[in-house]
Amino acid sequence: MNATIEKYTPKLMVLPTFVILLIISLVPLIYVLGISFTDSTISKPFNDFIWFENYKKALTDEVFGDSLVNTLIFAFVVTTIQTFLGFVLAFAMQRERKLSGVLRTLALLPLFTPPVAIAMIWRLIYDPNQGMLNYYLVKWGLTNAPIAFLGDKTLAFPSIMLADIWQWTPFCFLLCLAALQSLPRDPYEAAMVDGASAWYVFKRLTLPMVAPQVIVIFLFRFLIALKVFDLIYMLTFGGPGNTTQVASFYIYRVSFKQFQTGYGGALSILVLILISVLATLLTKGRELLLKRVE
Amino acid sequence: MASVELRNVWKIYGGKVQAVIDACWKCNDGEFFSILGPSGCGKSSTLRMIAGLEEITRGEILFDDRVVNKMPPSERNVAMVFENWALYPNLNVYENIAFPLRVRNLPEAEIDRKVKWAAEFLGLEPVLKTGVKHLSGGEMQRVSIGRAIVREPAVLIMDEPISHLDAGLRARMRDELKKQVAELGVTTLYITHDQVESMAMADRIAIMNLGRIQQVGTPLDIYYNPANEFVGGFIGEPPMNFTLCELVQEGENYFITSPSFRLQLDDICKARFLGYRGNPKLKLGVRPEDVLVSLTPMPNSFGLRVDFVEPQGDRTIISLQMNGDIFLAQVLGDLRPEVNQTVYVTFDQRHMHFFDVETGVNVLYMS
Repeated sequence: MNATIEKYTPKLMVLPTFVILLIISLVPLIYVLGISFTDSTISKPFNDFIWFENYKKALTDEVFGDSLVNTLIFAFVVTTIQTFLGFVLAFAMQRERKLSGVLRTLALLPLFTPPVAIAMIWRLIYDPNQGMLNYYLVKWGLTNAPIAFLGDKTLAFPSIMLADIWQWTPFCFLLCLAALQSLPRDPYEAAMVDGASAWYVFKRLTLPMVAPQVIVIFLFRFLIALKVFDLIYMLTFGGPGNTTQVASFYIYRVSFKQFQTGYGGALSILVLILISVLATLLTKGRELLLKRVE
Repeated sequence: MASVELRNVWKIYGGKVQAVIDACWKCNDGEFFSILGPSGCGKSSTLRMIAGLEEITRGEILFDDRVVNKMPPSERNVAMVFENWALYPNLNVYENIAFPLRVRNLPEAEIDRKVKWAAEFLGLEPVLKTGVKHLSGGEMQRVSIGRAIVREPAVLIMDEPISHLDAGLRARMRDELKKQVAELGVTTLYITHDQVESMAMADRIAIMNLGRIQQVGTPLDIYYNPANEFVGGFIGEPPMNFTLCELVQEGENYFITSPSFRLQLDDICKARFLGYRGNPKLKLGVRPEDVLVSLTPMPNSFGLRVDFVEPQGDRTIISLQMNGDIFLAQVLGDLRPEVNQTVYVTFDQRHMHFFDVETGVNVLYMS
């Protein structure tokens, strides 16, 4: 009797969490999978079972294809810059034990701020009429007329990226700082006695020692960046044209603006598959890289 | 190669904690010099100042009569074997040993030759391509020595290099290390808390306690002529016995007395006291092997009750009741008295040490 209780107690303890997870993730997933095979609209869920018609349509949908490419470009660019900046900042600050406490708290602020608020602030900054950015660009004579950053086909996407970099660099900074501060100290003293220059120590010791963690930070951030939605929603709504269309926003538009929930479901499933494949490939790639380093 | 000299060196942390107090000593060129002391005595701070990893608060450190206070570690040409070896975790054995050579931009062929030499010298050839994370403790220790000797340093500093190894390996590495260093002939500063290591390996030892140098001398000098009570008690296993006694002069004769014994001093010991005018109350220190025990009375002996007998084969350690305290005697293995039996004891008067009751200074110290 006692043995049975002991055996099942841990499982029972986990059960509530398990049920909650089931409800909030597995049930919607099955629901989406279900409607993706139907010609559903928002008012008529599970309307007409049409097999793979939605998927066939998705594969020929140019906007969807472009939005996937945009998503990948966006995620890759912002993640690369954020990881690099975060690492450089962390490396510069790692010795400042006293200062780094304050910096850590400050760095958390953009992460605490609701994304919508951040997007609002950036919209104000980019605004062609009252925006701070245009004000200074004109004042310092860098441009003659204000620029509509978010309305310009070439500038819109970089502008969103800049906002995203501002928002997420602290995240990479914090993780890089933790990684750097967890490195063993004695090899550095040994290198000092051995007469190595700061650059040599960085190249031969710091970088190889910290690389595995930095790659994880990069992957982590990359997978989050693939889901970008809020900045697009607030700043450009996918425009001008479809130049800032990303996958999650396109799905939102199809499902909740055009009310084609069946088609939106199919797109979601495709994106899910794509991200899973990508994540697996990247993790495998990391393992291979680490083996080569060893 | 170089000599290392400390002149009135102090290390004070945060303006308060005195880690090293007025250290003065000189390690000669090519000497194997050991700094010995309990943990927290300031020996690591001393060595870190010599290596240049720590600033010198006051005083001067000289290499070959040249002040190196402001010189960065890289220019001092010291090599260091760290307590936890401080290997470069991302590099293999070969690259760990080659590191200081690559830093100096030596040609590849010369690096290869030197690394192979060090590896052969230390028996590391089979593991040259192995990552250091996969090595055993003994191998890691040899890699860190390899990294230190490969660049032919002026001074080799070793900070407890073998104290993390298990007992058997430690004994073997002690011999090996001594042999290797002797072969290289490099000036070596060896820091340890283990008196056995210091006694077995060093040409000379500096004993430290509470930041102060207690005594500098050869192992035998320190053993037979301790400068103070701390040195006497710290060196030797089983440790030196201490008991309070009083020096009494009766006509021509000198006695030392305590509640448990009264012992007449022989001519040699008496001669050492002839000029003594200090406090007649003294602390007597006698090593267990200098306590002579017999089952029958001897001349100038006194009876003590046996508290405990510890046979160890070749020798027996007897705990005796002395002035309400325990007094250890180490005798030959065939002498095995019963517990509570009274045995007759006298001391080897050549090796009796007398310390000041308050300061602990050896009152008969021959410097």
